[in-house]
Amino acid sequence: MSTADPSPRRPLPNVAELTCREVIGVVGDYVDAELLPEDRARLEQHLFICPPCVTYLAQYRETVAATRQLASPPTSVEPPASPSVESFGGEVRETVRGLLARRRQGGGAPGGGR
Amino acid sequence: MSLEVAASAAANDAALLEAVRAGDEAAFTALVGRHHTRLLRMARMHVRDASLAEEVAQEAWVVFVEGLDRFEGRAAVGTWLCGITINLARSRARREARSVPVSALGGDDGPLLPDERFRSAGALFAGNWATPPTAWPDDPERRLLGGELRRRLEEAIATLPEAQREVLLLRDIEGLSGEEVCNALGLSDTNQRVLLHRARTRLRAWLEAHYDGKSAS
Repeated sequence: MSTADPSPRRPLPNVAELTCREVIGVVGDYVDAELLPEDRARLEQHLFICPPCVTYLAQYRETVAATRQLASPPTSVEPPASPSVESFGGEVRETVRGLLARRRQGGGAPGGGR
Repeated sequence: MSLEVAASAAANDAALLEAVRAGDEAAFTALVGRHHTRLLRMARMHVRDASLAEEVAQEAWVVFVEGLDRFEGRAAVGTWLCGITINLARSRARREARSVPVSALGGDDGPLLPDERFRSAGALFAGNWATPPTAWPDDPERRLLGGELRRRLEEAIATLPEAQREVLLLRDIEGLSGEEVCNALGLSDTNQRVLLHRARTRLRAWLEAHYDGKSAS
């Protein structure tokens, strides 16, 4: 594609060729920098002439940013106590301890498993 | 997470893993401290009950220790733990009778946005906006994600088709890379990207409806 001869009479790249519907199909790859350079350029040309798609892109980014915040606990809530084996249910704790003890003794595989 | 932080976290995990392989309980406890909260969040997205999620996450640690000799170290420890937890949470959710229709599992659940949003084929400017999006208000609740909006966004994520929800969770909430998500869930790169994009698109539409509702009322 990039090897095409850019002759002076060659029509400008058709900026209308990418529709808004197509744009919303690829904004995810655009935001994640996964678009090929030529597709990225086409998308940016579209954005240059299409304010609604710029709004859409901004909202898409805002959505991702809001979702990312779910990883941190709400500011109003005390962080939970640091998780540890001690907080595990008795049966789970004993199973894990047994498995680790076997590893210490035999150093080998505990055989079975799921 | 910066690259340096990610790299040193992976190095710490690798060192802890070796110690756990030798049966070191303190190293196991350290791994639990580093990953358990994340596993809980993942379990919670499948089973809506907090105590069930805790059970699933704890069971994941048992499966982890049982499977230590099968882990070849090609994926990061965290990715491996995520994979175990998701598999357990999935089967637990199904056992808890929330049977999931097959159509809800896949990535293709219709057009990304309703057809009416775009000019129809044959019309002038076909495929371009008929009903364009309008800018959202500058909402501090969205930026800080507190209160009501946080709870409702979590609910919206819970209604996503399972495969979309899993990818969204790992990529956008847990911050795993695309490659790590493919490893944890056994997806192709294309599938992973499609599922992530569909999930985000739905959540954007959900936020749009949220703000439309606010301005209408």
